[in-house]
Amino acid sequence: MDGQQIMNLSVVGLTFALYIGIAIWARTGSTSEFYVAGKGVHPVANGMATAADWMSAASFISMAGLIAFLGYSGGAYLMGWTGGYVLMALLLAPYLRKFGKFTVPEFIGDRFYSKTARVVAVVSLLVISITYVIGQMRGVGIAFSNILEVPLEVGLISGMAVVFIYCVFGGMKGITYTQIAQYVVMIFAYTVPAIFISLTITGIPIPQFGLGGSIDVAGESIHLIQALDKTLVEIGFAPYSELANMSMLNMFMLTLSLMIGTAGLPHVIVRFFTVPRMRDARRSAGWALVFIAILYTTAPAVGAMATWNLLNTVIDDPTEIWDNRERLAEPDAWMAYDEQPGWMAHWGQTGLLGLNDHNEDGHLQYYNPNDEEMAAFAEEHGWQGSELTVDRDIIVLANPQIAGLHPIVVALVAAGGIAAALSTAAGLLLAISSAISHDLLKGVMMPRISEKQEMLAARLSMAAAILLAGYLGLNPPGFAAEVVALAFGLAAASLFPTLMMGVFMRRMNKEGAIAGMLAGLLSTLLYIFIYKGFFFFPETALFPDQEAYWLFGLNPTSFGAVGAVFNFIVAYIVMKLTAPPPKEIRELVESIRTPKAG
Amino acid sequence: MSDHHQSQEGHGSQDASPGTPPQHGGATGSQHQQGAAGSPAPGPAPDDFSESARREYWKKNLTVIGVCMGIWAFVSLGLGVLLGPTLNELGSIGGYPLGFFFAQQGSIYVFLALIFFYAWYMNRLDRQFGVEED
Repeated sequence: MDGQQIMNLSVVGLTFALYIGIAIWARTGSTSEFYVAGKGVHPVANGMATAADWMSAASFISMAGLIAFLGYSGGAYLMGWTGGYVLMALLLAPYLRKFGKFTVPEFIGDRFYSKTARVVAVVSLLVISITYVIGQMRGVGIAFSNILEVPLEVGLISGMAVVFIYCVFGGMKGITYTQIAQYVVMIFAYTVPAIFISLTITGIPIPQFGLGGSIDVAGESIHLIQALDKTLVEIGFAPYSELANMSMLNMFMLTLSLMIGTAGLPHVIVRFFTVPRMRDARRSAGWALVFIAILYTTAPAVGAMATWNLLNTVIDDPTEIWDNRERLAEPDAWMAYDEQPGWMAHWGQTGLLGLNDHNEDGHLQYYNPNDEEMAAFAEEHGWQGSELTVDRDIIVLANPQIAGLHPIVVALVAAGGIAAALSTAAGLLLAISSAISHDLLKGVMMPRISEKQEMLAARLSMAAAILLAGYLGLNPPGFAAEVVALAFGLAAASLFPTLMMGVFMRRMNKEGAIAGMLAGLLSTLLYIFIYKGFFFFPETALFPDQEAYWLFGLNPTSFGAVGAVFNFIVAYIVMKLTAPPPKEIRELVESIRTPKAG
Repeated sequence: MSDHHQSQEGHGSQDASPGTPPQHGGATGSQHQQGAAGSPAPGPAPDDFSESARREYWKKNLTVIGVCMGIWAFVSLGLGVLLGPTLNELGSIGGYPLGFFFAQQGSIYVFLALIFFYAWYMNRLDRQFGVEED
């Protein structure tokens, strides 16, 4: 065990000890504390906890790389995952807080005076949340096996054990206060390397300004984004700052679907049940977005700068190739294999970077083989394929080493990735267990159980959910990446429209709501299954998952917004054809619309 | 939402106090454009939060939501996506091509401003109508 590894393990161990300490301090006694932290969380604190709850392993580890790969169109993820908070703050959070119960399916069940509606909502919630948990478990695994160099099983099981302690005993209260600690760890681990990389490349310490900053190459000053554009084009990729890699229609629909999906995620919505008052819910959504925006506005800078670092490493002098592709034909335009920097060799071993001297010229050629012109150029010069493959997760994970930072920063990134995964997992696990104990058990199957029995059921279903998540983390289904699209699609198509109509349409009745939810749910499932295979068995797909076969060229991952429109339309038509809701429901709607008064 | 407007207008015609719906809608709109800071809307006392005050409160809420959602969609889906390539040609801000800026930075800042504006506006509206929580 070398010094770095000891450092890594002690930093992660310290954060774990902190989480457990908080769990012991925040033990819960009542169902209100367990489900909604006794509704006593300060709006700023709740904002911070929401940010940790929301920002998953994917946000922390993969997003910067995803944006680096997509360039301009990566903005769909940035705008989608933040714009959803506007929907949540304006259309849902204050009203659901005023309603004042414990879970999202509970609101749907009460507002639409129907156990069927509640069960449909529970089913959506479970599909969304379990899907999501799998991704978090994978994130814990990546952090452990790639940074800490600890076997995946050991990492996962110790992560599960910590989550178990603070979720089962602390419920929402324990989760809230650990999430605050996890946010601090996470944001520190993300911004410190970003500040250094920005300083190194542009001389500007604030990454958000650094991305617009200039770099000095060959005695001249040029904007970083322009330098990226000019370099990427010469090796066959799309310019960084231009809308490419995705059609405008798909970028539009993906942005919209992610926005609506974000606003419909039950584990995030329920966080706004924990603040004392309606006005706190409004403000708290803003604070949540402040804390989220710190990371989300840094991510594009990290993505672009890491890409520049990588290009600068593999291409001897990028300025020489601008408007001069022929220069690439000479081997010494490229990095020599025996001169690769230490971090490249290190990440080459983990498999996140793949280096292979296909044409055995001792130099590494990196280009886009899918670009026809570039492929022809490569063939002409005897290249045997691009010799570098880059896993998008590398962008964040390798950052501190690329910038040559102190080993403690490397350890912090590991702790940050784990904090991001655990905080989101905890929120999801609570949503899953409260849907089972509060909605299915207490709400539908055994309404007569006492509060004490319900608490026991909540803790037991939490424990079961953790075991399930752990199992899925150790034996990840092959389709894990695909189903994340499904989670957002379903949240957008089933839960968000129904919740919104519950607040904004007094006349909406149970028939309309149920029909709408099912229409959104089934149309989205169907569209995804047609291209990805029914229940994700690829051989059952009806069409290849390619743009030429998509309906109107619409990617299945961008379908959620269309599903939401189906939900609205079907609900509206069915509502017009059926009886209005009873008087007390109209009064309920009136009462959730204003802070005080009836 | 549309059915709600219908029912509002239906009731509104029986009510003398808020005036006819079209006039009223115009007044609310212009008040908002001036920053919504002036004209203290005379909110009734909490104990008589009557049917008409309730409707008035809700209508103001819907108006401000409509304006905010319009900005929300225009900045992100409009400037960030549909007009992005055009804006990129037009110029740059802080070293970012303009469209790229809205797609990867600007929209997020506008979202933040919208949420805090809405919270401020509604919390003020609550006080004007005397319906704020203790």
